[in-house]
Amino acid sequence: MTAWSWAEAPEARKLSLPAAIAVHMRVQLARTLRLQTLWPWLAVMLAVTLGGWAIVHFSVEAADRFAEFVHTWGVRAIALVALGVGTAAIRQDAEAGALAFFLLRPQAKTALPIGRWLAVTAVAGTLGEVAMLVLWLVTRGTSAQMPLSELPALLLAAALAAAVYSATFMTIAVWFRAAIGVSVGWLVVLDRLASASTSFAAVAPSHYLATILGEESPPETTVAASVCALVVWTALMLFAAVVRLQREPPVNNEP
Amino acid sequence: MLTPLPPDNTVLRMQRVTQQYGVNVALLDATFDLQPGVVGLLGPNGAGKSTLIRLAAGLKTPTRGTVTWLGGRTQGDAALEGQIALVPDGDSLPKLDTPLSLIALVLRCHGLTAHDAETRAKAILTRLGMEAKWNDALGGLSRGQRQRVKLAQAFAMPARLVLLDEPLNALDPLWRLEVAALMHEAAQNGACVVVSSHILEEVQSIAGWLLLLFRGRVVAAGSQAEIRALLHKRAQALRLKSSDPRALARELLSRAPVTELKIDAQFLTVQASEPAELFQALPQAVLASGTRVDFAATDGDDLISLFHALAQEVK
Repeated sequence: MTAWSWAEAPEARKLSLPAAIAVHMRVQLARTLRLQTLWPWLAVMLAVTLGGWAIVHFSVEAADRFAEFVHTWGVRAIALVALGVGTAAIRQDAEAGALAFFLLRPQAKTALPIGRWLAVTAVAGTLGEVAMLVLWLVTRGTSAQMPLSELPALLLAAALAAAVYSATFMTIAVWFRAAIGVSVGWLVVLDRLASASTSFAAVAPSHYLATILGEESPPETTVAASVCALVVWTALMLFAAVVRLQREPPVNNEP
Repeated sequence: MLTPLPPDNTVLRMQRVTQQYGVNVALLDATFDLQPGVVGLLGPNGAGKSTLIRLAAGLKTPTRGTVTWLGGRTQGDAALEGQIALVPDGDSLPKLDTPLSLIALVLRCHGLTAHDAETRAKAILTRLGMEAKWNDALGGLSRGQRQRVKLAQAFAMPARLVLLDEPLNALDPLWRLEVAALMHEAAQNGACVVVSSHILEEVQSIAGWLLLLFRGRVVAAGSQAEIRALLHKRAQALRLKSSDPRALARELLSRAPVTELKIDAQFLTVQASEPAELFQALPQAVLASGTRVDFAATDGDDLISLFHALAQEVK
């Protein structure tokens, strides 16, 4: 092994944006996929699938209740997983004071939030997709059987929910010290309550996710418009995270 | 790749920098230049050291004033990327990461290949005595070991400005020496290494240039020699052990502007309004009194006394 020397360091070079994103994504994936980090979120998704299975097999009005359950609790479970893994994505390093280790390096400042968001979206999305698929499968051969045509909407909603909620919670964690509290507040008050209001539904991601899942709630929106709205929301959240990291990154011991 | 030093060698320049948090002033009108070398940033807890370091790292925009690096480069300048390394205060690191994975990640951010990053990470961790622990979770390491990992990420690649916030905390004397050697190696290669501490003695032995901070103000700045000159001016008392302290006291009273005099058994303590005149008068006074002086020492010319005196002026 080469002995360490300050002067004889390997030549540093600025990573391209995709390469830097890949570095951060890989690291965040490795961190999130540790069993001690992941098991609570596996348990959440397992609970949702077991709940769906129980409705299918024990509920009198299984067909109606199952669809409502999947649309409501399936999406909420993904939001919960995104809250857990999303808030931890950057906040962990910020609280530890380790964020500066990465921000001072020669790489685009956008790489860190984008790479980490991709990683947590991949985790929350995969868990969500698997849960939705299992929920769809447990209805096979029962009175609550969902048609195959509904499966793409379920999978699309799961993927978009993972993306939009991960971006939102990661950004909240970059801006606010009490990230979990603010995230729960946003989810319950702004997202859920706003989606139930005709005036404010347009700023609630859950309204657009409900539209993708086939629910008709005012204001009327098409699936394509809903997908666009969620993509724009995600992009805005990532932009807000980048702005904060570029201007005044959260560091520990801040008075 | 390191940015070349500007003609005046200034790595960091702060001009009238003030940082406020609400109504609290963490740093007030800080003005100084730093060149390559080891710089000691001294001050008690709450003096504003961590705020100054954060501003020097470009992680914060000052409320007022300007911070520039390497010949006028400002915060966010792409040429500054990779030129600044930082060990923040605090004890935490990502607990589930390992020393090797963390340092290798930092090096990957410098564009090193996975193989080069791992080789270099192992080399710096070995230098800091972490070779037996590099695959252990950081959460399971002792405080001193975690501190060495934080230092390893700062020294992993060359930088022009290395900011170390209380880097010697939790390190045993052996590792303090090794870390001091790392600092000097970096400084010899053109880096400005800023070491903050609230323990004066540990910085005094490492740094060639000192910056004294109290209640957010830079109360003194200069080389060790300049600070020593300040100390000499501020020597407050002369303590002597003499065979006849009374006779010696009489002679000193007639030769120097003595303001206070105390005799305790064989010990004589003298204060003068002009300490330099007292020192000049001492040999003649000893000869004239015919006494023997077995011991002589000054009070108030150590860094601690200077710090307290300067702090008193600010108060």
